[in-house]
Amino acid sequence: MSGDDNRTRFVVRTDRVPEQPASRVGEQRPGLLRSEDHDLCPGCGEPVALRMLLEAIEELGLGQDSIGVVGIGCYTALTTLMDIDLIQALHGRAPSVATGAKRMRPDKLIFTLQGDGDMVNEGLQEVIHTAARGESVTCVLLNNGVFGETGGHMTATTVIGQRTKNTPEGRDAGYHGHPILVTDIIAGLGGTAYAARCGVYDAAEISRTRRILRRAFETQQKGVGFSFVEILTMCPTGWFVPTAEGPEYLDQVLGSVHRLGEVKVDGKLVQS
Amino acid sequence: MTRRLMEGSEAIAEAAVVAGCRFFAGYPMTPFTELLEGMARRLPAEGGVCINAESELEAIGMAWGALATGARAATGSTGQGLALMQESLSELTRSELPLVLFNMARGQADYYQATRGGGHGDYRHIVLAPIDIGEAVALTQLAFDLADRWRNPVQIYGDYLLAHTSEAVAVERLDFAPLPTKDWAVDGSLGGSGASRNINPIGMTKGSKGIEPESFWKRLQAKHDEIAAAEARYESEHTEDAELLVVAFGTVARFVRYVVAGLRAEGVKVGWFRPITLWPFPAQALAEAAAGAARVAVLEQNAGQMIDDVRLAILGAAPVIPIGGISSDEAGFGIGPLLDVDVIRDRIEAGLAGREVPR
Amino acid sequence: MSRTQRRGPDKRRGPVKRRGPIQSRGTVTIDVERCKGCELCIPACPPEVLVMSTRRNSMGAEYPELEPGCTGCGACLLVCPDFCFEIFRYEEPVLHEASA
Repeated sequence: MSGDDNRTRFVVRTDRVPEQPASRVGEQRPGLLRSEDHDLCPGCGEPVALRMLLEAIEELGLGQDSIGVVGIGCYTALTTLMDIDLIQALHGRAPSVATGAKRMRPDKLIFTLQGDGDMVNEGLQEVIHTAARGESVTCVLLNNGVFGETGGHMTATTVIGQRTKNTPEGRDAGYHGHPILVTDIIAGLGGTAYAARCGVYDAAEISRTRRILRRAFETQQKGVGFSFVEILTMCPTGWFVPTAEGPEYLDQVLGSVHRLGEVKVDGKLVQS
Repeated sequence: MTRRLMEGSEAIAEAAVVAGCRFFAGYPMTPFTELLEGMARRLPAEGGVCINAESELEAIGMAWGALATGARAATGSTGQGLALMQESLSELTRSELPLVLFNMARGQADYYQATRGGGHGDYRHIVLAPIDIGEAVALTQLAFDLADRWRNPVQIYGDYLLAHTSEAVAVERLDFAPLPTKDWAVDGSLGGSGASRNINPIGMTKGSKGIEPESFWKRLQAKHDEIAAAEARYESEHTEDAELLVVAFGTVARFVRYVVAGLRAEGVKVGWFRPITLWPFPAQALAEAAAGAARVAVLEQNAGQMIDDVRLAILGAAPVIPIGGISSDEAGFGIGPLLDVDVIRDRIEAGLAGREVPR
Repeated sequence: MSRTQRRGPDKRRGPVKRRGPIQSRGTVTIDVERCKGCELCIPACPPEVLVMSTRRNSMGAEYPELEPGCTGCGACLLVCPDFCFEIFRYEEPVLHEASA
């Protein structure tokens, strides 16, 4: 992997802070993350999305006014690192739990953190009705198109042709049916004020994810209705692709079906 | 103490509000619907919230969220609706959330569901079975206290008669011993402090990667053992010289009490015993009450469920015979021919004579 | 043009050959023990100065090394799933001689 043998390698010391006068412009981890020690797979997009979520909350100064309601999936293991008051919900039920919490604590920022299996399979009724009621909560969907925790099985967002443990030859529309484009369904509901899709496949898109999360949280703070953010994340393990090819797979395979961008802003559909 | 003629459902809703319940979510289903209506009418006026949930699955989920923030919250249905809630009822118990759950049942066939639970794993709920509307008003308030005191769900086992008949009752706020503040409840305040909360049912603790279900669940078991030792409640009468002890709960016990009083007036040596808590079942008290009796007769409106607990309490000291049975109206709402003084008198007399009873 | 037809993430490319002392406007620290060797930072680095080392950490994962030319942009920090990077910007650009 390193340079050619006959060329002199210039390697900068990176095991400690630089001696030359410098300013730290990027913290290893956000303030609301207790530790970076987690066991999610190499190349997983979920910790990347989590960083953006925590940084969006920090930017809004809401670290001590937020309650997270977490679904069940690989990201559940990250809850021990999140230094935010949390409620662990059952698979699919987070939007309902968030509804009850927000109704009792209307002054707090309430968000859910769920996967595509948790939300679009197990809990689709919950998120649709929570949106239709216009609950002032933000539901965050980490969509990698598979059940990651069980090792990569088809979910409701798996795209046609995508190989998973139970679609080894690729998802077939005639046999396995079609993927559900949940952000578009949510955006069509009267109670939804903000709905957007973003991804974590490159640095620019990751920064955009933080901005989109922030706009969703600001929508909640304005009390103008339900807000929804779908974040496409890599799952090389579940996709059977090498970690380095995860981002491109995300962009080309999932991103071509679950199209990125803001779908509804301030209660109005965005003409794409 | 001014009493007012109130339907059972309305009185129970009023009692919950008086007890400080500020969140309710429910899905209409007979005979629970009127309780939901009562909550929908009363809660907003008290600054509370009542949501018509899209299904029972979401109703219990919403209550879960409200409870986790420290509010007094409740939900309910009839047995069939509670069947949809069982996964949450089980895990919510392990999250140590003080839920109050109303089963306005269709008869008494939900005894197993209430006392053994339809959810997975080891867990217990305190189950209170009121005999009439007056007691339901008191037990509803007790339920909210016990739920907070033990951080464990408490059920009220009502039924069609309790829900849809009316009595003159005074709904007055009962006082209980002070409770500790709910520091465990999430309000966001500990975010970024390094000690933020995570209300969860499997022993996840902030900062440690692994989960610790075993020690966490064993602590809950110890709590349930404590509850079992402390919270059993019952009522009995004429047991000292009773040859036959009749055991019944809820509405059926009300009929039994009336019939036994009549028989006693005629010099018949019969007594009655009713568990007020279906769990913890008052086994020791029942064994003592049945000590002198030649026979114990169980009168319940189902195929025979509480009889298991009665037999466990008596442990063979006397024969335990069923004199109740399945009994329902043509709609299946649990108001059947068994709820009739003359029918119950025949059943008790058969019990006295040791005759078989059609079930 | 829909969003997803933008230039996808760059294929993973090896380091470009350079000659002579190179200027760095910034640098990073890398917590190599946290790294799981996913290589996502390599193509994400605009000046292409991150290279996978042949050395491995205690978990057996190869980890990235930094060559001179870092601008302190922080792209590596953003894409890293294991929070390995910390980003610095020098007060004055630093010239790096060939290191051992």
